Amino acid sequence: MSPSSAFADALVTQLPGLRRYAMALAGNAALADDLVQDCIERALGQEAQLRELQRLAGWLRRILYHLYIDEMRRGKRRGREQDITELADHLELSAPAPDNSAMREFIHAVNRLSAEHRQILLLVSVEELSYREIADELEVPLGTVMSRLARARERLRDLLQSNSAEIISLPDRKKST
Amino acid sequence: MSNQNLISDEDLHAYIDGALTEERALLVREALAADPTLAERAALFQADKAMFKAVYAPLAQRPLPAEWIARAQRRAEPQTHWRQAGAIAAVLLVVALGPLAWRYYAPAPAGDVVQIALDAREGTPAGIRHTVTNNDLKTDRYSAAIRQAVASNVHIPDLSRMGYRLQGLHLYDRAAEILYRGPQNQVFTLYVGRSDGSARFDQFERRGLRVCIWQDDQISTVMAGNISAAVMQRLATLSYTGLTS
Repeated sequence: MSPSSAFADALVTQLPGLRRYAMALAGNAALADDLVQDCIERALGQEAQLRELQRLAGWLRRILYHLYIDEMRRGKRRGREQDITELADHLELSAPAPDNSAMREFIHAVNRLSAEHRQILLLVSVEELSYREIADELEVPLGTVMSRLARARERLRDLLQSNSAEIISLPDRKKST
Repeated sequence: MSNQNLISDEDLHAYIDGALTEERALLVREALAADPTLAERAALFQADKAMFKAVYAPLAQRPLPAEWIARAQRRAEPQTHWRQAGAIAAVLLVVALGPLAWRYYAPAPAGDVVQIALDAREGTPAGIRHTVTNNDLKTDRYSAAIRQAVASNVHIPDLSRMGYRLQGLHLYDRAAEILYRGPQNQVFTLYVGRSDGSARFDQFERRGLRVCIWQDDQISTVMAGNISAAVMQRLATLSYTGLTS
């Protein structure tokens, strides 16, 4: 099998996980698919830069993340929040899902995080990378991974609690006339 | 610091992620036992982590757009073979049909290649010509034998990058069954025969197995294993591209 053929096969194998990463990062299925397509093109054009095929998953995620940041910086599109019913359609093969309202609040909170915080939470919670693997992928020291993760989780918790507070807050009292 | 200046927030999160040394983890456990507020906080972080996985992990099981696979493969084979183009068209058709394509199918008619392949998997059917063990498969001789059996230029696929090891081969007059073992010792079979000329691509459950048929106008492949739809999708892609590369 030629190197290009091996690369193509490995790339295809990584696409489901890459698309999941893109959807979670962008919070928007259409933008995520555009990012994955751009990432495929970029990866095929830069194959020579990948030193080890075993590092392909992280390499692809790095490319995709930079594409996403570029997209946000250009300000052409903001990530539309993933519609909960659309997302629920994709969960049919999963274990019993949490109830929709809890999921909706959770996705809403995640989408309000910074891209950097979403990224690190995805890497540890969904991709299940070790801290060392995350440090290598993000090219930051291990201590930075730990502190960034702690801040990301604190921020997410704050957002979830403020969402709950919004839900139970009483309406403004009308001024008496 | 989160608790009595003993553990930091970083330590608490590293504990949640199983990233602490046993000595340090013991300190965190003691702190959690001594401080209900801290324990509740840790439980909320753990719940958030579980929620992340529950919400986002299943997204990897969505069927991929066929044009992505085709684009990646065009790199490996600049001029897309007409046979693969036919198969890709079949994939596109299935994707367009949406959820209907993923439903569970009724039993196949007699003589259907899926039924033949599953019969082959379940036993040693009449007509077997040759059984080959793993050691012998390292030679090109058996790729040549498969090519002769199915009258098409195919190769034994390498599925090792998904942890599937080649185990053996059954050769028939006009077909072959290639056997692999997965990371949990599960058997994955790849049945290759001659096509009836039509293009088919489908995935479903039958006889308690996840089954994928991928057929072009030259070869018919039936893949079966006790695996998830997502794993089958990846194995089927590797198998078909490996066969026809």
